[in-house]
Amino acid sequence: MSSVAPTRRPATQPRRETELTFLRLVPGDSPVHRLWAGTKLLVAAELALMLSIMPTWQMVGITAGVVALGLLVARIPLGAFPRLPNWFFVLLVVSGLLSLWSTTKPVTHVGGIGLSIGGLDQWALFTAFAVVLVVSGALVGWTTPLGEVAPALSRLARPLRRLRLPVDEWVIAIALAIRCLPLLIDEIRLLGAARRLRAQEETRPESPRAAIHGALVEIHDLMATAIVVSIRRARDLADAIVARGGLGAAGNLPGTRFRVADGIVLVATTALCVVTLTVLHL
Amino acid sequence: MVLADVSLALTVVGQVVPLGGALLAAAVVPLAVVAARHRLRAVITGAIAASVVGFLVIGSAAFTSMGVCAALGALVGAADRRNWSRRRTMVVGLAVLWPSGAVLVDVALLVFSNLRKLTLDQVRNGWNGLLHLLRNLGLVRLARPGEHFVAWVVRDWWLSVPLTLFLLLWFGIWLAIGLSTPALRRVRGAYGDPVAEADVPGTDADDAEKPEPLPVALRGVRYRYPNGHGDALADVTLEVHAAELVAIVGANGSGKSTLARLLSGRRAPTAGELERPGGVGFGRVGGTAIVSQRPEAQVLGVRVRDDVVWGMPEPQRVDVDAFLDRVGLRPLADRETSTLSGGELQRLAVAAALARQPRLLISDESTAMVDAAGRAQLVALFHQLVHRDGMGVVHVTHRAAEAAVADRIITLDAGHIVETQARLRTDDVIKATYHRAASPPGAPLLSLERVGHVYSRKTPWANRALTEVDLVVREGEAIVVVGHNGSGKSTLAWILAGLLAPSEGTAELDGRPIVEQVGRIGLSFQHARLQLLRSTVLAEVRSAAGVDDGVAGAALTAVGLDPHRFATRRVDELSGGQMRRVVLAGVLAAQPRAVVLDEPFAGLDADGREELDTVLTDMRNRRKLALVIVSHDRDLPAGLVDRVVELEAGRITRDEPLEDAVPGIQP
Repeated sequence: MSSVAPTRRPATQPRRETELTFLRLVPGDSPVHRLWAGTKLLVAAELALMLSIMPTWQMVGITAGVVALGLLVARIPLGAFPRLPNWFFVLLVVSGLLSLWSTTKPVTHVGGIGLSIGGLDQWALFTAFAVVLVVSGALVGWTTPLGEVAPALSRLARPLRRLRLPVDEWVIAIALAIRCLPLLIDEIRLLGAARRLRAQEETRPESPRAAIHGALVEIHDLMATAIVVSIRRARDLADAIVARGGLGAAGNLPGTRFRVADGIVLVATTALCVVTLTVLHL
Repeated sequence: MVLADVSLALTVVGQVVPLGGALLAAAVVPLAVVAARHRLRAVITGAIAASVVGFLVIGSAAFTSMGVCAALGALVGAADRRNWSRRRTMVVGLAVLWPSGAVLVDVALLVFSNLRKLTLDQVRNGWNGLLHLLRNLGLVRLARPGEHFVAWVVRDWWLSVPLTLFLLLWFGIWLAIGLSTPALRRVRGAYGDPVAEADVPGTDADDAEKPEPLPVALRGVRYRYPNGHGDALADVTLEVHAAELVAIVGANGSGKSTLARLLSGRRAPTAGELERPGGVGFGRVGGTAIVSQRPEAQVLGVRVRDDVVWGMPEPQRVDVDAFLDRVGLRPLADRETSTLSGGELQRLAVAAALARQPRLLISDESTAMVDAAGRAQLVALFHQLVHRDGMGVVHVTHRAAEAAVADRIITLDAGHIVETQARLRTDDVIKATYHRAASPPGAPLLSLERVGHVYSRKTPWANRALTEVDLVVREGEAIVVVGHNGSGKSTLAWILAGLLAPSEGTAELDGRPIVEQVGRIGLSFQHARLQLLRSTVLAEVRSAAGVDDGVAGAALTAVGLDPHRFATRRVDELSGGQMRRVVLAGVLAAQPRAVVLDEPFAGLDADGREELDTVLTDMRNRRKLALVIVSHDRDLPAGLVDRVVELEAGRITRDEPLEDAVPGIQP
């Protein structure tokens, strides 16, 4: 904010816009940033698997601890978290209230109304479970340059090559998809703007059926335009690949090295998962 | 054809990711398009790429939704290719997808039994809460059967979940057919039947031959596109030698790019002779390399360093830094390519070409979309390659100044080499033959006061685009906003059109914030195709402006497109300049107070510029429309603008009437 007060200001300062903040590198050079991308992907996968096998409070707590440690070490500021739209919170509160109203024990009575603490507990566990999973994935995106993802996948997928799966083709496709993502987001933004600039239907549709029909026509138009533009881009891309003399060794990209720190992190996480699973639940 | 398959699949499917969250069903359509035009393998590759990218964005949920979309898309696409009826598609789809899906889901639920319990508990608790509410509201009769039903869903999940899946699939297939069929029709309309039309690399025989592309000699060469009317090139005779800079000039559609394709071996002449000592070696070491028009379209690597060696058989052996040094990009080696400007991207493309040490370098209008500084750097680079490294360079261009440095200029007109000089774009700043507006500018229309804008505010990616911008645009006034890439021009254009609420200061039209009046200020993008949402010209203008045929037709006439010829033309058949004019017609028909034009002249040849210039001048003089032209180039046609506003790093550094801005020009 500028310190000089302008003569006229809008009544309320615009709030932070809702936007996608995943998949963007938070600048920094922390131990987490320096880890091999494959290590981070593996750790995130391990945590997700462990949580899915045993979604209990202890497990959610341990995973949340690991993720929080990662966030702290990587010095991720609060501003990096996406600002969610309001309807999301409304939905969350409504589902929470409904669980509070259910009959899962224990149930306490406050002023003659039965409140299900058990239901609320399950709801909170489920929400925490989902949040921890999403944040653990986001942490990978915030600390990994996009260019590192495809080389790491190419190395992780090496065993699949023995099964004669076209792994190289997939890795190239993923690398190109990541490369095209910024262009694409830009295009979607432009397409949205183009739609907003057009004349809006003034007349209200006569029936719900007509309204649905209108919405479908609009979706068709937007999709068709997006696809025609995409095919054009795909052709340019194919031309560009041909101009480079084919794919070459593009499926086998050089990336950062696997270092001692990666080994330690991987072993530690795996040990943590195995130990907690056996100690707490067997 | 795997190459085309892969790239097509992934880009089309890439559309899915941002839309996916809001509109999952829409994700089916791109996959259906891929399935209709390519093999199943392309769908799988595309789905995998989209899932991984999706995973990075929204987490593991992406895999499930992508899997579903891929299955539905493959179904609808295959059905379209085989001309199945809706009913048949539905029956086949349910028969194939449901049993396999049901088994998969049940196995997953069995394996992750605790997660299943937790999730089903959510369902039960939610329903219980709702039933509780119903009972309190006295709707007991509704509540009781509901209770039994939910209890059954939770108890016999192995049956209830697959049954739900059946219903979802039924609905999903219905929606997928409904959404994809029109899109498939439009794509076929735009691109014909699924035949690969992208350029093909040389034949295998050519690949085996040692690359030796120069000297190349064409004698009486003729070329006609497979389904084209008339020859794109006729009776072309020329030679290109090593250590020679040859400029090819001519208007849009004169056959310049076709000639570039023949020289690079991607097309073979229909008639006549084309001789080289060895193979073309397109994209191979010691062969032929190309730098094409659109900067962002030819970059394949995520990082600058990766892009240079992308596609080379032994990337480790290439001295990447040395090649980046040649084009002056060495300091940017570790940057992501999406952060580079147009000029930097073109130089990167040259570096990637150099890494293959080509004998022949073809620049197919590589300077068309680049600002003046970028153009100068590129042309200097070509000059150096010819005179220091002895490379043969063929540079296709519209511009006189660039052609002038060539050793030889070849002028094409309607497919023939002609002796006369083609009309070229001159680089003189703004011409002296400048006319005042028919009447002086009127009352203030748009006013920006201390406007600043920061993207991604309060995040680690906060990025200031504009600072304390004060700007007033009056009725009937035409201003040009110039500045380099990244100077904040586009942000300013979006704020002026009301698409963006500035984070600081006020932006008003008639005393009210512009954001509340989106649509009253017209905006034309540089990328016109994205603004054309309907499939035919007249329908597009009608829908863009919300007007009837008469008004739309008049607007088409006003932009110089004869409604009788153009009304039913398909949008995808138009040239770039025509697309821009159709967008303008839509903008004009809506009777805006002002129009903002983003790079309206980029990529147009001399004639195209003149036509557009006439339309814009007419708009300003007769309709008293205010014009704001945003450009990275000061190379604007004469007589169009009254005022020049210069932006640098988000601040206005100059705001003057034209005669003061350009010293020595008489009004």
